[in-house]
Amino acid sequence: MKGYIKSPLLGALIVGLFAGGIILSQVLGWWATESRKVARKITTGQFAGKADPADIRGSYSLADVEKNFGVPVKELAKAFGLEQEKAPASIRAKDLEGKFAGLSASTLEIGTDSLRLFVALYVGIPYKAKESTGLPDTAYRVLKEAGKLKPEEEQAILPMLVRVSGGGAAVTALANTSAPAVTTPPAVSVAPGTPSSGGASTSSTAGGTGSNIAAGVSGSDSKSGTVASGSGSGAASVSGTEPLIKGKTTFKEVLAWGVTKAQIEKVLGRPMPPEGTVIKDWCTSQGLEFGTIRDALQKLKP
Amino acid sequence: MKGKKNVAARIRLSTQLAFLLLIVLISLNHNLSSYGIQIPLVGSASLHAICPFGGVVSVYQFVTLGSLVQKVHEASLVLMGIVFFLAILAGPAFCGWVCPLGTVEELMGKVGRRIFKKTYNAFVPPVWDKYLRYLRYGVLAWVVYTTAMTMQLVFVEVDPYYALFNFWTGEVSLTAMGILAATLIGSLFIERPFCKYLCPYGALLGLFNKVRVFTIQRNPATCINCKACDRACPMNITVSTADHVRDTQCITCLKCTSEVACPVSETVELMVGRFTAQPADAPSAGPDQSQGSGVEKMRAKSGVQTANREVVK
Repeated sequence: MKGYIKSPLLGALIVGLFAGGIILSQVLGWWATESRKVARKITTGQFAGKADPADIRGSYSLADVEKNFGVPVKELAKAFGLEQEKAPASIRAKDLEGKFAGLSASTLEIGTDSLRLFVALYVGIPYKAKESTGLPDTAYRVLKEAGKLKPEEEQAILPMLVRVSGGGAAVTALANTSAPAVTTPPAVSVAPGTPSSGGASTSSTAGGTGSNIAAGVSGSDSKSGTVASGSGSGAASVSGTEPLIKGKTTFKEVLAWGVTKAQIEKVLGRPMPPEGTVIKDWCTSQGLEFGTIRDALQKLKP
Repeated sequence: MKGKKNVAARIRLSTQLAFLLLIVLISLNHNLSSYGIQIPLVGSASLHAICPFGGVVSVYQFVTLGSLVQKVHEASLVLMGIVFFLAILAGPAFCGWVCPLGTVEELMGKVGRRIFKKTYNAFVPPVWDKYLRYLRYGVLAWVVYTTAMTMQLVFVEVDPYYALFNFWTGEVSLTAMGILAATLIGSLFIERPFCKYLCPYGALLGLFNKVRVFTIQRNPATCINCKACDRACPMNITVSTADHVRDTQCITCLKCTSEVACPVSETVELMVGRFTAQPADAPSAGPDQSQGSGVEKMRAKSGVQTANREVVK
């Protein structure tokens, strides 16, 4: 058998294969150029087969989270102070970071990882949050009211709690690790914009409603050793050391460590803005996750 | 005959430009979509979503965890399947006919060829070239391994293809921009430098040359040994000494064939099966040799001694 393929036939074959293959895959439902928002399954252990909260991505909407994990959008919206939003179901995980961007006095970040932690606690699947992850006090209340928190888990998340008020955008308190009581603790608030060190304005409050969370401010940035708690089946945990890059850290401060502009730009993947720019603000304006950039920059510290 | 050769070359160039234009429009549309603007009839997928190499780097995660690497979607797997099917049939035709980065390298190469004429694409000493060509397998191994370990699209940090179509977005790493610049500048001296030395996808697709159904074949019976095929090959393959081209660098561009470079019809072809055996000095059955001793005339014209087939310098 002998057969030739000449240029016209090869050109037609290539175009035909691509067009035909794509059309066929569309017919079969295999063609997708956007995430189907299906979280990967846990493959081992007692939670094998369940959706993994660690796979929640910034592009997941609250509706996607409900679809994957069965946590109602209403509960998610309540937890993250989004009840007043017109369409909370369509809010994406990465939008949370921008929403809580006013958390200037805190070293804790509310964003995608906070949502992962909340979902993990809600569905009872172990998840190790980042050391800088914060959880709104509203989320704590939702978990508490729903009876989702075991005592160990409650202890574990206390240092991560951030008091939010009036729908969530304004942050008024920052949790610390001073091992406060779980019930009716004194709460100390730090006004937005208050410098993170050197005397936060402290004012005791009633502590909000329902299950109050302990919150104290040490006047300096939060410190922690390793805080972990088990729930028997595994638990949310957070470990960490003193964060170096905070909500108000500028690029200039990072450069002052001895890190070069080129190193920073490599992390950013784009030119560095003026040195005085606040890293977190810049990340928000660029649509980047501050937590990811911060962690990468932090690794540059000599 | 020359007209036919031009047609063949134009068909490939047209196909390349069509895919290049498509990718440019999709990339533009993807970025415009964030401003609520849409180019009609063009998709707005992210380039990661429609890159067949994304399917390759995701395979490990897909098999072990059932999910794809972030930013890669099912479309990449579909395209990977199409490209593999094409490669089994006709080798890395994707590289020679579709890949937009390869097309841009070729376009730059046309400028380089005008500048350097015969020295173009001959700057790298063969001794170095021989070993440098293995680099792309190292890149392939590194990309597949690190992607599997980190579950992140690590190649995007160095990918000149992504950089080429997103350089205006501010999303491209400096490393990738540097590699893109080096690739474009290098294309002025060397034909398809990234494809030859660094492209991990080209490395993988090149392996299909060992098993492809339709191969580039040379008919020794009608070959006049003028080495036009060697000179035409952008990947510096010595076609003139091979009966079947199984070199992993072949990109099925067809530049060496009787449609384009080879002056004797039905002598270098993309085909399955074997050429009909013919005596070395007999006229071939092709149209150009139909009147008298066509091959002999060709040989004489190209300065080749028929008896021993050595090129007269």
